[in-house]
Amino acid sequence: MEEAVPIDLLLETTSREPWTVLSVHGEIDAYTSPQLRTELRDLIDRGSTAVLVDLEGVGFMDSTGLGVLVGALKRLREHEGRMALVCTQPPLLRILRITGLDQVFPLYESLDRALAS
Amino acid sequence: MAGPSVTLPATPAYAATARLFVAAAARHFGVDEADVDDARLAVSEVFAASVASLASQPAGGSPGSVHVALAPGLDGAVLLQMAVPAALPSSDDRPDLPDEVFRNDAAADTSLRLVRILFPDTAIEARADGATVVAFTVPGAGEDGEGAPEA
Repeated sequence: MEEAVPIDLLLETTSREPWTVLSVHGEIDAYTSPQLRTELRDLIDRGSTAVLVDLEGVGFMDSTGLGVLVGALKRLREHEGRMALVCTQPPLLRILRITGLDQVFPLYESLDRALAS
Repeated sequence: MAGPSVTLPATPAYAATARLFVAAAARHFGVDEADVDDARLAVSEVFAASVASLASQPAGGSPGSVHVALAPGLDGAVLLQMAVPAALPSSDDRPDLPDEVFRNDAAADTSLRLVRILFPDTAIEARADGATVVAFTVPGAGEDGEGAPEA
């Protein structure tokens, strides 16, 4: 058997009023998405109601990652909250567009643009 | 299939290895980079569907193996085949592809829908031993990527 290539996510949270910014680095798949789910749940449980997920450091995301983002959005909406994404990576934009989630999440080209909106 | 192949444990930690293998093999066959990305995504989705299906079954024993193989096809296309140790919806169970977007939480069904959108010729066949074989064609360099929606 070949060696696995475990690619952990690097997650960094900062506060940029009114947003809580979660910067993600790595690849989001069945292995790493639980890490992202836990972090988003913790943010929401701690009272964040405006979450900006910066995906610029993400080279790959499959539908398990989409499921985590949608799940977090649902939880935020239960608290009258909102979520937006910073994303310009073509493979990520493609899966967001195929699934129609580009119509669900506000998408920004950069963190600065999101913060200025 | 006469081409490169790899066998990996059917656990989430190996999904990245499967993607790396498929990307390298597809590039070896001259597949365009956009189609390499689609192939990586499809393989990851099949892997995820298998993991989700296995997770829904009673625990115990080895998770089994995922086998991924690529082989040259007609007109520069590449045939990609995955055998996973889990029951997945077969081609006969194929639901109509949604006209509208699907916005629900990801699940095994979502994974396979995505694969079929990326590669419309996807065939899913249940084997007698409980495994499932998923096969599709990745367009060769310069092909239109027929059926693949524009991003």
